[in-house]
Amino acid sequence: MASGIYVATSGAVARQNQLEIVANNLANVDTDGFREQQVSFQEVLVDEVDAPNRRMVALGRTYGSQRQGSLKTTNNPRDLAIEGTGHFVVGTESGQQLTRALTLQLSPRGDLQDAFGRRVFGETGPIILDDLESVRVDRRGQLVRDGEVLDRIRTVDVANPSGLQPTGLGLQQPTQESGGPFLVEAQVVAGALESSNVNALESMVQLVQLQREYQTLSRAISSYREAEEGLIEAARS
Amino acid sequence: MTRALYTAATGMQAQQLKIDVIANNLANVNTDGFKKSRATFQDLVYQTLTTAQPDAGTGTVNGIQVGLGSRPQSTARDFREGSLRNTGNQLDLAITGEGFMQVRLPSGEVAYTRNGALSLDAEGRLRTQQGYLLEPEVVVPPEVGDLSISPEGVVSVRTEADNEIIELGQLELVTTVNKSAFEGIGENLYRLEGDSRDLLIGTPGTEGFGRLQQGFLEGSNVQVVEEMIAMISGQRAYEANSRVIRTSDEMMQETNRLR
Repeated sequence: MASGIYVATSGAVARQNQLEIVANNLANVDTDGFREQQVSFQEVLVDEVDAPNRRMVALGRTYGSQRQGSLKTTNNPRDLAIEGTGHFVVGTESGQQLTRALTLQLSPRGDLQDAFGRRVFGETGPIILDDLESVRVDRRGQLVRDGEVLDRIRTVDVANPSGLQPTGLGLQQPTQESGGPFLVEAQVVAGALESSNVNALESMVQLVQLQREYQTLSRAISSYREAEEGLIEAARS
Repeated sequence: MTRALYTAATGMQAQQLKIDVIANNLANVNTDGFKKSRATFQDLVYQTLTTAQPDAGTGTVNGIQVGLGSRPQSTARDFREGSLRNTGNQLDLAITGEGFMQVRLPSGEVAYTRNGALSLDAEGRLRTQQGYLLEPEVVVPPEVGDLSISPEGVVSVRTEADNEIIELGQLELVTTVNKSAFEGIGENLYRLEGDSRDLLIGTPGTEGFGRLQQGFLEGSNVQVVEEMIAMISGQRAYEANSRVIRTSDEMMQETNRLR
């Protein structure tokens, strides 16, 4: 059997996976702080007995787009967004994770939390306040009450933000590729949230393109089969 | 590809909810004291197709992760003030600034409202248009002259006979540290979810509380243009997701045609 049929199949499978990623991007076109997932293809060399160095294609990796999503004002002074680079830090069961959109609230015990009850971190550790209503968040992320700075909401960045791994619920987790988080001064905007950075138009183009490519590869698979049938016919006659 | 089908379906459900919320906002564009809501979404869990592994050529590589769509996170209420409207009715009250009026439901439960269109019941007690008594109770005796309510919430009347001013009671306002704990229960009423210790009760006009404006009502804070734009973007996002379903379906047909 010609090896080309396997190559065409590997390409078709890669397009199926790409479709799933585009579907997720479009499903999250309205998710605040969402980072569009982009995908790269890579060549895979497969050594088999009959075909050394057979070239196949597969999805290489997924990475988050770092394009800034547009900031939309919400008029809730406890919605926080970051302009430019940087991430907020919240505590989860699996350690500290990063997020681009934060809505502050206070637990009955006075712990500063995000909208899901995950702890929000300050300069030195978790932040405890007696009242949130009178607190204003300034451009540097400082919690200010009557001109007095109470704490600063921790903002971090990583060496390679596109290597961050999304874990759902608006969170991203540092990986080996992104590098560990380090403290930075981010430009915090209160009363706004960062919209999803998915570009719907681009995603639709990807969708059309990958479908056409899938069709082409399907034709190729069929052609290989027909050619093979022709060969068998020829051998018979 | 079946994953893509379900992922797109979650996106469509999310946009459906967004339109539902917008529909309710638009339906209440003329409801006094109404506060609009906004649906927010979050991404669902991610599935790892291949884990990250070191690659001699390119250094470490990320794995391939496929997200499984989005889901509604909350419908956050926007408590911004609506515009005030002069009605000239002496039993209409608007709150300028923070605060809610407290009413007692027939069940004995307390609810909160910003709609100050009041009336009197048969015994002269101040109540809302739906008939819920204001808390604390204020009784207006029959056959008195003009009722006046000061910005600080003092209810008084001028007697017709000797032109004397009698104070009948004091209205109170309620605020809370965490307004997102207010849950709408219809009829312009909110119920406090969770701990009532977070409630602050105070006199109108004091620090942290708004003032009362007699003869005015607070209109709905829904902005029609804003809602229309949100509706258009919601509809387009819905279409985009349905397009994913179609693409996925067509690709599966393509697969079935292979022979």
